[in-house]
Amino acid sequence: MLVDKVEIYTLSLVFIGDFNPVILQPFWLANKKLIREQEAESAKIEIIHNDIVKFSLDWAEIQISNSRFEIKSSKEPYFEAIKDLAISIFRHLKETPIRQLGINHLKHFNLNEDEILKLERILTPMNNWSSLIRHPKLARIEIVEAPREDEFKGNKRLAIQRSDQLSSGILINLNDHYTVKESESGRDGEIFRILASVWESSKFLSNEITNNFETMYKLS
Amino acid sequence: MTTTELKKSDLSNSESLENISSYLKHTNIQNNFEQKFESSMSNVIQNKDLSNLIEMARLKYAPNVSYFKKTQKWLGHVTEIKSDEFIAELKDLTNPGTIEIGEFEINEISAEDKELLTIGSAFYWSVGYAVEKGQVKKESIIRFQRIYWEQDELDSAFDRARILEENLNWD
Repeated sequence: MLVDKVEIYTLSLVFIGDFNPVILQPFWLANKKLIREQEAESAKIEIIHNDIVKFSLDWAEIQISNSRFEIKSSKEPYFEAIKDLAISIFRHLKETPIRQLGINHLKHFNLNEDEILKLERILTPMNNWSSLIRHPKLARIEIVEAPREDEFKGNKRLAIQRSDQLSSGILINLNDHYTVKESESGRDGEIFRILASVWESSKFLSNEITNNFETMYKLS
Repeated sequence: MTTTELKKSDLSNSESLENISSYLKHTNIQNNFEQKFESSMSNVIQNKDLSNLIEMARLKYAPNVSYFKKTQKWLGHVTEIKSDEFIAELKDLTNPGTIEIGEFEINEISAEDKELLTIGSAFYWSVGYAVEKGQVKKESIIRFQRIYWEQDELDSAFDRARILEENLNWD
């Protein structure tokens, strides 16, 4: 089963808007009781600057620039916690305009070379290229739904490539992207209402993509 | 050359060992195990002991992130607190649709989360395999929810609860 071969699952939430990075530091989070005091004390700070802040807790990495806020984790027990943390931060900073959200599901599958080649053949027939390129291999393929066809504005983008984390494997990256409506300012928590309403369906979509690969793999 | 191609016969050839050493040293080895690597490599060369080399290779090729796999998750709501344990209703987040009841020892909660333990408080409970530098260990994690609610959101939640209670039909 392909689903049993997920080795690393990273969830990354990316928000696009106008941010003041320097506010968002570990002790500010602890002071607002959004993380434990001890977590703030042991946070690994990479940079704190007016234009960029980057630090990691034991269970999440946070990076903020003037236009982008990202929180991510490869520890699945904390996926809900990173969502809660992002929502709570911007409930405190409610005037922050946030116009876009990307929910990125990055799944690294532990596969041997034969399994990778089989998946590559399913995605694109390499024989079509063998007269021009010797031993062709798939570097990266992207499949998009743009604009998205549900009730939201944005797009869905699926990228498949060799894993950069595993010695042998592939990475399937779903970028589930949402944008506020043109009539909305992004200052009224619109993006977080979207996040709350699509959280389960986004995870479901990511699982369904894995199941779809499983089906294609079995049928080929 | 990769470490997976190594054979015990390679150990008789000191030139091969130098190549291995050089290969591993110059391919993005993390600083914090440089020293350990050096001492292990000398052990490999002097004692022809493969076990250290295999351990070094495991560290070298382990993914550079700490992660969890095969995780099962539940969202719990505390329903009863006893002197040294609490009972909670658990909603399965991995395979949604089932509700279970669980009993937990208060000692399992981190010291700073204990102040969040009240009737109705929510927490995430997960079991899975934590992987760090190739080492795998089974872990159970309880983390109480830390969400900041604005007063108007709390007010509207209380209003909804009051309306639900008023409309409850006990017959």
